[in-house]
Parts: sequence; structure tokens; C-alpha cells
Amino acid sequence: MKNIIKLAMVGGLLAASLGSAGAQVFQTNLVMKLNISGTGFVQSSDGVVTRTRFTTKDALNRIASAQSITLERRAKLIFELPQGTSDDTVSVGPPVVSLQNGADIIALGDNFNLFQTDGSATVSAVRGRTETDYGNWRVSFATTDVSFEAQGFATFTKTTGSRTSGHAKINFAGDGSVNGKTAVVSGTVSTSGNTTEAVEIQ
Amino acid sequence: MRFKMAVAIVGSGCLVIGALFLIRQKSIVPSTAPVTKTALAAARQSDHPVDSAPPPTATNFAKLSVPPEVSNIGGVSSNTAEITGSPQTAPNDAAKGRHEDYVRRRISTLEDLAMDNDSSSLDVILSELTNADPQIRKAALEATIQFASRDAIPKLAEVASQTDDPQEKIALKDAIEFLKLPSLTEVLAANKAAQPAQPVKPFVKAAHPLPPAARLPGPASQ
Repeated sequence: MKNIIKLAMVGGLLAASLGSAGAQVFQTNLVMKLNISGTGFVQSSDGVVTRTRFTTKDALNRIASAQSITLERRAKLIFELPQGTSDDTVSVGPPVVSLQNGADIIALGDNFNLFQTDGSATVSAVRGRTETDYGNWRVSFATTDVSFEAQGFATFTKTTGSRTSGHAKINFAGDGSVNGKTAVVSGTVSTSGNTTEAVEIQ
Repeated sequence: MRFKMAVAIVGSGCLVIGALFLIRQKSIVPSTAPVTKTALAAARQSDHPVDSAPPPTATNFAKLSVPPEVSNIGGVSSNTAEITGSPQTAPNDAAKGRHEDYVRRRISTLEDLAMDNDSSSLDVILSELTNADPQIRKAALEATIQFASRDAIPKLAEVASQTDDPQEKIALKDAIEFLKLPSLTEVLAANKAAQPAQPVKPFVKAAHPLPPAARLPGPASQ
């Protein structure tokens, strides 16, 4: 009788652990370094436009200032592009721009987002192990003193093999503000990398 | 009964261990093949990222810029032939693969250096503007833009005057024009520096916007 109880307990624990393992859903992301560069045309006063350049370092400084954090040496922006989930019934989440600051990775949902323009189409070309997607993407940047909304033509290239690698380029143009003054911006976001990560999403 | 069970468990355990041992032996076999010097160098390079490497000096820039493997893109070394022993195309593919690996690593290093602020990192980036590989040259130019220092302008101008490729010349000149612009951080800092004078104005003017009736009677009116 005692053995039967023990067996039942072991079976129950096994079933419970299997059940919880089955509920876990993982998402695979392609992690790439992200760079941004461009030019801003700021209406500094009536009839006067000041041209300014911005790069990843400027974006990092603005984000660090907005989030009150100190940047480590070689802090960088990374872009996590979802590739798929372990459960076909669960759809992939949105792509995420993050700040890698030393060992910390901070998702920048409030400051910097890249996403496909609502309702826009994507066309894909597959050649061997390389897939290239063409579409329209939005670039959204918001910090205390600089913000803009822009969009433009995007090319995403992914090569699968022993190691998946990818790179992307978004040529954007849009408008926003610099220190409260109206600005028009144009520039490029480029990403590249070959690191894959699996994150638990459920 | 129990004895038989124990024997069965021990036996199956031995079988599993044996199978694992065999599998491991098989997986070790390929790595015992001879390895080329360049592959070893590449492995060493990948084991020591730039962060852990000593800071580059003027003397080791040359080593950093164009390693010998670049000039061996389509070449067949005796070592690679020894490894594969297969038709002519295989060593070519191997060399091409090694070169692609090298280019990927170098581009990644340049991207990391671009996030630095020290002049030695900029020197390494600028030295790659004349690399034999066009992908590395392109990455070096992008890294120069991301480094965002006007100190790069003379070298960019020098490379632009020497290059024969019209597209690269345009890209280099565009980079020069870009770097000449004030950076966003500089513009914001300038605005901030100009701001401390502003709070004084409303303070001085504060007495005037008030209607005369609201003003306190001055000593002259008394």
C-alpha cells in the first residue's frame, strides 16, 4: 500500500513538472548591434535653420540623460529581432531596441522603437540560405530634449546556416523637436549581428 | 528478484556509459586533424576580444590592419591541402570561409571601437580606411562616422584624394561634410550654456509687467 502511495506521488510530481515544462514558450531572437546616424534641421529662430548631425553616441547620451543612468565604456544599442517561438500557436513579439550598458541590458520601449509601419506590406526574396525582406518601417525616438517620429524604406537580410546572421538598414525621414524647437530629420538605422538568444515569453 | 533488478540496472548503466564514450570519441576525431596556422591565429583572435587585448600602440597598428590571410583569399596553402585532400574547389572554399570569418570579426571590432572615445581607437579605425577588403573599408568609414570626431577629417581627406573608386570618394567626402556639422550633443550643450543668462531676464522684468496700481509706493511718492 505504501509503495502504491509513493508511486502515485512520484507520478504526480512527474506529471506536474511535465505540465509546467509544456507551458513554457520560448522566443528565438536574432540579436544585432544597432547604429543610427543622420542630420537634423532645427528651426532655431524665425527664418533660421541650424543643421546638426546625430550618431549612436548622441542617442545614447540622450537616453542616458532621460533615464538618469551613467553610461559604461562601450555602451551600445542592440536590436532583438524575433525569429519564431517554440509553440506555433504563440505568435512572436515585437522587435525590441535595448541599451547594453556593461552587463545590464535595458529595453528602451519608452525611448527608442523600430517597428513595421502599420498595414504596410513586406516582400521577400529567398536565394539559397539568404532571405531578404523589403518593407517600410517606423523609427520612433523620444527623450527629454530630443524626439522624432520617422519612417522609411527598410531592408532586412537574414542568412541561416550553422549560425544565423542578419543585417538591416532603414533609411528614414521624419520630424520632431530638439529642445522644444521644431526639427526635420533624415538618417539611417543600420543593424548587424549573428547572435541568437532564446527568451522565455510565457 | 531484487538481485536480478540490480544487475539489470547496473548493466544498462554500463551500456549507456559505453555509448556515451563512443559518441564522444567520434566527436573528437575531426579536431585531431592538422590545423593551419591562420586558423589558429583566427581562433586566438576570437578568444581575445578587443576589450581584453592591450591597448593598441603605434607599433602594433600594422598588425591590426591587414593580416596576411587577407592576401590569401583564393590561394591554396600546403596546410589546407593537407587537411582536406579533396578537389581544388574545397581548399578555395575553406580559404574563402576563413577570409569571411576574418572580415566579420574585423567589422565587429570596428563597430566596438567606434563606441570608444580615445584617440588610439580612432587611429585603428582610420588605419582600416585603406584596407584591401572593400567591406572592411566600408565598415571603417561607418565606424569613423559613429566615432564622431572631427580629428578624423584630415585622414578622410587624405584617403579621398588617394582613392580611385568614385563611389568611395563620394562617401568619404560626405563623411567629411557630416563630421563638420555640429553634433546634437554640442548643439544641446550650447543651448544649455546659453540658458543660465535667460532666468535673469524675467527676474529683472518681473517688476514691470505689474500694473502701476499693484506696485508698492516707492520712496519718491511718499
